Amino acid sequence: MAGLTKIYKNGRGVKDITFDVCTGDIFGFLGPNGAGKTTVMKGITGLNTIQKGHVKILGYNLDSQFENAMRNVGAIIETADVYEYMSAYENLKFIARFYQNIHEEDIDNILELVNLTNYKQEKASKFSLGMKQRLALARALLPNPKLIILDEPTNGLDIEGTVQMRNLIKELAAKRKMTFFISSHLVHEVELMCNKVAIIHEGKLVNNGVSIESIKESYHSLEDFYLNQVTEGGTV
Amino acid sequence: MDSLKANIINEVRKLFLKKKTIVYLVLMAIMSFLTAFFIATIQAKLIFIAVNSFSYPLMLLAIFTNIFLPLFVFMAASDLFSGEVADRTLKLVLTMPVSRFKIYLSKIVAVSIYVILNFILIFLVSMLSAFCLKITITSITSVVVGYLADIIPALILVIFASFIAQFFRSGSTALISSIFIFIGIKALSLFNTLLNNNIFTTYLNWYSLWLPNGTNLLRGLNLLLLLLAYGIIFFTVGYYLFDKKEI
Ligand SMILES: Nc1ncnc2c1ncn2[C@@H]1O[C@H](COP(=O)(O)OP(=O)(O)O)[C@@H](O)[C@H]1O
Ligand SMILES: [Mg+2]
Repeated sequence: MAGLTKIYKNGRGVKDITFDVCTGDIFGFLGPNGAGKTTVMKGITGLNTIQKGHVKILGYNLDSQFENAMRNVGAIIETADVYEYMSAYENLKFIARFYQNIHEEDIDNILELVNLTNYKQEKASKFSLGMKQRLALARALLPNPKLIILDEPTNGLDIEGTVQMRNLIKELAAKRKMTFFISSHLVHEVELMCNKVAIIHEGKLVNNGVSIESIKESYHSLEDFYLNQVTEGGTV
Repeated sequence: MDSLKANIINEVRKLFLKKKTIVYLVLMAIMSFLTAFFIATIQAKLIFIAVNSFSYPLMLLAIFTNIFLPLFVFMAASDLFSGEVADRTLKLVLTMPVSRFKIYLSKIVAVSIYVILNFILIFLVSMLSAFCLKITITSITSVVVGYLADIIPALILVIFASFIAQFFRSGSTALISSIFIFIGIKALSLFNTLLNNNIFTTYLNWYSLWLPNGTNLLRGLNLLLLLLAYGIIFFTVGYYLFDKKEI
């Protein structure tokens, strides 16, 4: 039942990161630029080798059961890239080949969800940044994964795009029971979108997953909590 | 197993969605035909050139395996490995439910399929144009054996190119470097017989070295083992580097 993630990582990037993401969470991973958010996410998805520690996704060990672990994961790491020389449809078809249960209508549905139906056969190289980002999201969502890992999903989006993205994530979490693990350097974004937050600062975890509601009870806002935590545990 | 098959299809699709892949295939077909046309013209004018041992499809095979094949192989391998690091799309397949070993293998299989298609195409075009232009082919069996045999060193070259591509993070750098390394090995083997006898690049057209001159099967077997040894070493080290790669 639980989407469980543990990492302890040593070396240049991040150190001794430990936390669990539970099923149904929209888990915010907050930290300033260069704090190590992307490094952690690469560790969770096998893009980086981890020197120490281990990662478990839905009960599967990332190291020894990579295919099973990743079968239920959709991820956009660092930048929302797609194959530019392929159409939107071809991009999604690539994912579909790895799963037995994805049909043509699933591809159409997902294109509709991200508002790209009219661009199905158009090459991604002609897409705007926002469209590429939506196509990347469609790639992550297509297998209907249990866990979705998004690295700064609103980076580069305009206000409207940001709001759309936020609402879509909330809707998917509520309706399809998807679990999200989302990194951000924006306090307000995490406050508006997530129900739990872990803060990372200079490669170290400041706290490992507290509910945002409980934070709001004890502190004025997530921002106050963040400042309090970072100055207390981080520097000096 | 299913994820391996899925990714082989994906990698082949990637190669063929790029226009240059098709363009090069077409150019090879045209070149094969023009060579035939050229030979037919000479044959018509100077009858005595058409000596018995001369076989146009095998001559074409020698040109292809030594010049065009390395180019195509380096191009495809640079695209599928280093090119994807450069345009940041390698991570798109690395986060799929497929192991790195299967990804590495499927990329090599995809390039190999492209190579084999080239062999089939050149074989068909050369046979057809020989037939149309009335060029005499002494033994069709030796042509077929020659084409089949030369596929083996071509696949070793694919494994070698994939290994080289692991050292570069841009497709064009990988391509240019591979070509220079290849030319370098070729140049060195001109001066060093020991190297020349033991390096796999000498045997890209190995068929011409062992079969026509008295069907020396033992020498053929020796060379096969040598080629396989190169294949195993380059595959293992190449995969090791790919597995350790951080994106
Ligand atoms: N490939 C790399 N090699 C060396 N250092 C790196 C590499 N990638 C990131 N870093 C460093 O690790 C730290 C964390 O980076 P990153 O995880 O990208 O931060 P964030 O995503 O939180 O902005 C930064 O100081 C960055 O310079
Ligand atoms: Mg980052």
